[in-house]
Amino acid sequence: MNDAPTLSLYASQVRALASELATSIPEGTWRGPAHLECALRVTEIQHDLGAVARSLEIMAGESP
Amino acid sequence: MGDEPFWIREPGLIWVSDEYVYSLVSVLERSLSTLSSIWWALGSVTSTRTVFDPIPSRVPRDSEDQRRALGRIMDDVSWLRGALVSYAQETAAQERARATRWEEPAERILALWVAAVTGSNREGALGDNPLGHAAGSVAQGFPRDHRVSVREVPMAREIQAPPGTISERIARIPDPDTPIRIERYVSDQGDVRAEVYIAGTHEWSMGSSLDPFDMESNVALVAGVPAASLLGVHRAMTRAGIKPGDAVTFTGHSQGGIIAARLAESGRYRTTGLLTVGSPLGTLAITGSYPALALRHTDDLVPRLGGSDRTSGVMVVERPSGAAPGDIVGAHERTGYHETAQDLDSSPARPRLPELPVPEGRSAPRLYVVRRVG
Repeated sequence: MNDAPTLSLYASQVRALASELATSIPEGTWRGPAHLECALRVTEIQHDLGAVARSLEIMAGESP
Repeated sequence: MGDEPFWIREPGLIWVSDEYVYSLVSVLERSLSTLSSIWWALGSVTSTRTVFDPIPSRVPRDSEDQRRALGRIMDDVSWLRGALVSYAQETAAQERARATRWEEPAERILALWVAAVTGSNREGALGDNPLGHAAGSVAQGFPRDHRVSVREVPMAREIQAPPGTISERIARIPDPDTPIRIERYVSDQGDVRAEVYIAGTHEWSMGSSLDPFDMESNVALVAGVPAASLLGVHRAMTRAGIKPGDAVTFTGHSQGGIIAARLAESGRYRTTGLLTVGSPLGTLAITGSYPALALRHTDDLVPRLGGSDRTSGVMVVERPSGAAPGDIVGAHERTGYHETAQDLDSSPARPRLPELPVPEGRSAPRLYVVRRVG
């Protein structure tokens, strides 16, 4: 079974989430808790999502 | 004041946070849902890892590896979401405590004073709605049986599209000279939907003028007793062809907002939405199952005249007006609220705020004026 289209779809969904997170924390007007820590966590999650998306794209390219 | 974030208070004051926390939690929840479904789906994807990979540093691309990576990300997302939710709930608890400790006692003292001056009973002043009781004490001498006449104002019948945003609705609230605007939409299927816009106080006397949008009506509305302006809007709706049971979305500024809320909660119409702007809603419990949004400026004194927020189904969004300090008129003006609403329409939290329905078709708006009779 060719999983490439499915994997590509997942990759694009994960990338969309990463992009959405990238604009989630403003630079100066945040009134939430621990601005720096939240921003750091979001950046880490965004980075990890990017890595998973990339791996899914590679898997899609190698799918039989 | 575009750099000040909006504060969002969910119905019942169980959540208070700024717009960015509000929208980030929404994004995190959506992420969790999407990642979870991908995690499950990857379980049935054929593994592509070769037994011997000639390039050891290459990114792992086994579906199980991806599931493990996704699992770790979901843990991180859950943790962050939980931290933000706790923060917003703690902020709400602090708001409730502040109201209990400071605002409600102050309202009771005021209500006791009003009761002493007017000779009304003092038990109500110690109840759970002291400002409503105070307003009721003042309104004791007000007439309960109002007589009003409604007149449609001739105007060019320009066909308009329905309002699509919060700021578009606020822009349609008429000037106080012609305080009622009604749009009636009929879809291709014959469904009728009405939009009713109500202006604020026009006359600052206590029932002595012919204009019922005055202070007497203000006090009567806060007290929950019949008000001439409320009757006038009801009559104008009837004149516009709106019948009991019709679908209506109400939008009002200041006094117009309390009238809107009273009509929305009346059970007379099938309320499809409520938007109030700078209105003292505190004594009114919004209990209907329709989207309800109250926009307030934190430096606008008028919304505070209704007392501290009751348990209510309305979502409150607030921000400083940007008016000069001490400019209480500027902080309450409809034009200022219109600018604030334009920012709200582009807020990252906007997708999660109550969505007022947009009627189908087009409509020619009608304007009405109301006068006391007799």
